[in-house]
Amino acid sequence: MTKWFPLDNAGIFYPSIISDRVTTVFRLSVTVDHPIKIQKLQKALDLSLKYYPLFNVHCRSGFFWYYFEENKKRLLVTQDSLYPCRKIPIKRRGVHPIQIKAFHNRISLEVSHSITDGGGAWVFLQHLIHRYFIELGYDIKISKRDDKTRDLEIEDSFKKYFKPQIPPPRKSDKAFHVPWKSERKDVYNIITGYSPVDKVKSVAKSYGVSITEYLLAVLGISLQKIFQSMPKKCQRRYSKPFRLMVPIDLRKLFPSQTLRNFFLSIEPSFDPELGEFTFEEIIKIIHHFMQVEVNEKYISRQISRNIRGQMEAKLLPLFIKTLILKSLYTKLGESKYSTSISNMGMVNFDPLIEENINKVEFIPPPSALCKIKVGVITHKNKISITFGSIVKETQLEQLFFSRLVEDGISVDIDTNRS
Amino acid sequence: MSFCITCGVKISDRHTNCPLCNRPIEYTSKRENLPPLYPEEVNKITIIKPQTTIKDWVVIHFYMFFTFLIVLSTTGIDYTLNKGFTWSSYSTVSALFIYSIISSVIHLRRNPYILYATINLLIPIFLFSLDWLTQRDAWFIDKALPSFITLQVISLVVYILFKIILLKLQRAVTIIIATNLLIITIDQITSGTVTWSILCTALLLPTAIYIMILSAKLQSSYYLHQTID
Repeated sequence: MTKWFPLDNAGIFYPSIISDRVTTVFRLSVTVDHPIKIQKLQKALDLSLKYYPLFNVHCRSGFFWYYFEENKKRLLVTQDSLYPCRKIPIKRRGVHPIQIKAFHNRISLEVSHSITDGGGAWVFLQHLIHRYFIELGYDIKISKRDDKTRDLEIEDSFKKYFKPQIPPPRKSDKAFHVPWKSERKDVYNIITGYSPVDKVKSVAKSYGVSITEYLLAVLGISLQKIFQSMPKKCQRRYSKPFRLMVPIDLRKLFPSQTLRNFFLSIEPSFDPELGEFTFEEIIKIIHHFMQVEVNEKYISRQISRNIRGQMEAKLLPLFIKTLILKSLYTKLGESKYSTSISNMGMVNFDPLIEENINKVEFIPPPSALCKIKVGVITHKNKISITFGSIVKETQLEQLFFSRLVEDGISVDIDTNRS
Repeated sequence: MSFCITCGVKISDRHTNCPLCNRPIEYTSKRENLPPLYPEEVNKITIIKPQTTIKDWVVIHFYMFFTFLIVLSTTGIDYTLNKGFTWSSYSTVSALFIYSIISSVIHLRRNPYILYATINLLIPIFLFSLDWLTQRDAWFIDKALPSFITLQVISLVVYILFKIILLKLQRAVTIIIATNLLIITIDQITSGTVTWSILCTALLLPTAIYIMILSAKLQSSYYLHQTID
């Protein structure tokens, strides 16, 4: 692996905007059937970092951009805390952009978005779990990799698939946000609902849509109900489109092997000013929007806009860029969508250890403006839907899960709220 | 598991209220004793074992080899020259002392209290061994040990005072006064009366008084600005 590499097009934003609130850290966790053996896990972590040197780095600041450099410090397993996804001070020398946390039966990987996205993080966590079980005596085979594969894993695929002639997408206006006040900065409330995936799939199929589209529609109608429950005076103030952000894993659209950020988002929306939408109408809007927007050509427009922006700001010194990027993130990023659902899809492990894995969870990063975000991941027949929220109110979660129950889907709830 | 009658969802046995609507849950069967889902500590980062890295082990083994080399060579030379062990015992004890300090720092650096206790145990042992080896007079019991205990007591008092005193200037005054007290006590222990420590007191006491006045002045101006605002 090269000694240093610059941040990718999606990652360049994150070191500049990191704060106690906008931590840009997401979590993937795996619960196994026995209490975690820390020594074995530490050994597995050491080997995994050797296997994936991309994650054994620390962030350094250059004159124009931040860059990642090989980290000589050893990453140690830490104990979990009450609130997940807290800030990783990645700009400090020797601090890895990932953390491994253990608690009872659960191994959690917390990752700063500056290094990778959900897809890349999952590859690392899966490898770590396999290594951990190898340490426990299981016979899992790990393939050998050459330098070419390693180089492909650290490539900036945004730059590779950038087409300069493609025009940027149209700009969108501000979106509706839940009206509740944020809690203390270190608080991050988690509510996770577990449901049988076959049931969710059959319900989604009955509407003629995919699981993600169905969940988006449920979230959309829950937002609409919150808007309608507000007093008329407030409704006028908050009357903005309900825009739901869905990150798309671009590895499925472009032939890329990168483990770094390679995702972009699409934002289906519907406007409350046009009147009340029924669930069927919302599901139709989302379904058709997704059908149109999720293709290589439409996504290329966003890649084109982002890379062009990066190229235009190339010669500005880093401290000026930091100031610009902070305001850009709020202005162009979070204010444009109401909430988001990140669906990691189906994940699996080596068949030898599948029965030792109880559940897998995905917690989205906390958001200052959207306040509530949703992370979805499926393992075996269990879909886990996690709401990460910085507000005290649980109305959105209640409306969402109640709708699933109304549709005949059973939901088991767990939380870190007291 | 039990159901929430309002939301219709199943609730884990860990909870007494529904996390969605906060309605109390009635359990028809006995609740399962589940471990907590998250720890109670809020964002406390605790490093879990192991504390030493491979690099640390290399350092420890290097010093172990180095100590072994010193002990072997000095005792060998001493035995060859004097037909017995005379001065080599001092170097042996010193080398062992340095090795134990380095290894304890590497092993216990994440547990500062245990490290502090270990070092405070190692120092008197080292001094006692030197005293025992010299066999001239009992300077360890008479002088070194009381001085060491005084140092520990004064350090403890300063540590407690620092929990109460938060202003930097006031903390500086505390350190100066504590140092002065230590110097006077050591002087008292070593020479029986107050001799050279008077000179130190003459320097340190006016400094402490000056800082105290400065601190009081700054505080009063701060409060004055507060009331004006």
